[in-house]
Amino acid sequence: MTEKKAENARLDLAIEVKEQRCTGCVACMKACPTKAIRLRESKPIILPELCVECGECIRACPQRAVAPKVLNYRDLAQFKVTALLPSRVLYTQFGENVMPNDILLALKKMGFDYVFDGAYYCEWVTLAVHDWLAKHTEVRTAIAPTCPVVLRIIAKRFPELIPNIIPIAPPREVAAKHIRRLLIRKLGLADEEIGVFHVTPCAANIASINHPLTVHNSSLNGCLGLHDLFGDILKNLKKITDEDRETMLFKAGGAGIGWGLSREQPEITGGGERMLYVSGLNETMEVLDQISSGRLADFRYVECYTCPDGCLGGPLTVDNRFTARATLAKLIKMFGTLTRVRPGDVEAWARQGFFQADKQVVSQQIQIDRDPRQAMIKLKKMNDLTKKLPGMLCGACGAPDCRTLAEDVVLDRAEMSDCPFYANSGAAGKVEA
Amino acid sequence: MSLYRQEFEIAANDFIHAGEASLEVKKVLREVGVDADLLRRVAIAAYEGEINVVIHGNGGRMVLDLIENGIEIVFEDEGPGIPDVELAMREGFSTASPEAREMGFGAGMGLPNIKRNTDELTIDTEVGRGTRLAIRFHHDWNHQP
Repeated sequence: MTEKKAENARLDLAIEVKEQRCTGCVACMKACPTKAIRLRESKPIILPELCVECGECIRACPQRAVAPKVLNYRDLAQFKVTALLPSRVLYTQFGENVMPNDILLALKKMGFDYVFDGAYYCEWVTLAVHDWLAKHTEVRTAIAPTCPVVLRIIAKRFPELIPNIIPIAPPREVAAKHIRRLLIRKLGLADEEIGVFHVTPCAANIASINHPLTVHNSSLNGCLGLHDLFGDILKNLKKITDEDRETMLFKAGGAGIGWGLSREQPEITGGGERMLYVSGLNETMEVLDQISSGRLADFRYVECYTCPDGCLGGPLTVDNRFTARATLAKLIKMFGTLTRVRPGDVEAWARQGFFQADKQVVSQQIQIDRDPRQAMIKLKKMNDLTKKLPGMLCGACGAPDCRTLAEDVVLDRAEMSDCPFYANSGAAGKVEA
Repeated sequence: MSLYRQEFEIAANDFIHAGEASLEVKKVLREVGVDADLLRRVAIAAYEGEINVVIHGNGGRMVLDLIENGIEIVFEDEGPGIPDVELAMREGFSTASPEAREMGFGAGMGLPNIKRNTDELTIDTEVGRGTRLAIRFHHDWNHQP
């Protein structure tokens, strides 16, 4: 294992670089919205303190060298019982003629012991969020707790918004907790004998299991990539018989299927208050900034997803997000926009503690220096150094732009002479970086 | 004495880029670690001040100074000036153009909002010559949140 690989593994990032595939083309470094990637000896390294696990680098890599650390589903033998919890996005990936229940049955045929409907648990959380909003009118612009990248961006860049995050666990955690209790009671097994896995379109979900920000320990054992299961689901869809279909694994209504995907969710705010649906990483950062400046105070509830078009645009999806949206619209029309969950049940589950996020997001504010006076000196130095660089965005130094190289120099992780233009200009000898 | 200074040009009637200078100010303040409440107050005041220069001042400049006991931001323009400062400080009073109002600006909350969020405010203005607005926020750099 090279030093770089060891570094990435140690810090448990959800994204890894397969060096034998990488050609050092800089696509990932250019695509990274938080400037967390550098090239060293023509290979990318990810700076974990800057990475928010958004997966833009996975999308950008033309060699498929940047990959999510998903589990191989053929290799889960250490668990006596395996249970799957697919994201509701899975239902949108096979076109409008494939029914959600068939997709769940296909997964069952692939050999998983239990398959649960993730969308159904989204309905639980929809109602729990609705309840919370009704009881906490003091929080003006409440932020949905679902997208793990949004939580990471808030922790690193907008820690002042931590109190705005609705303290409810994301649907996948609520679901996994429930599934565990159910199976332990039903099968009499020990907790560690049951493996609960999330089928996800999202790289950040992997990180949210290894390092959850709103629960102490994840109830999930890992993530399977939606893209990885896709082919075998297709094969098994053909084998489903009418007799199989007598088993209903799918339990949700349109509200659950569309959670965070459909732009209209009247059940969340009761329809009386303004809500905002945001997708895209830069767009999310812009909106978070506006919230922190108090400029969106007339919006009660804001749901941000950093992938384009929300989870439908996740880096591990197969179908393009536009046809996926068309499929979603058809499904919602078919199943209605309401929830199948009864509000009374949600109250009972709330009493059992299924929803409560058991820890608050902790600030990981990125600062050039913790000491304000030192930070000022370093900022000034960074501005001065930036002016000495060519402003070419060439990436030849191993940083995505000149300002970032200047920052790296100030933070002792690079040298001015890494810039070939600067090194050749003869300035290198004269100026102390 | 300024511990750190950064200057920004602000273009007249450029609503697409309006707000970018105050965004930069916020970035600087995050780097030097000011607390959430102060950050919010500076952000609101800086944004309103910047918008004033865009809408009323025919463009101008904004200078951020981190000073020994706080933060100072100065907005300078060579616009029409403010004939009646007392009136301009009143909530709801506005001379913004219909075009600016259509964009959601010009509610007459700019200066009052700035005043509400700052610790000190000085306006020097002369009709036909321009306006210089200086705002200050008290802060102890030795105290880390």
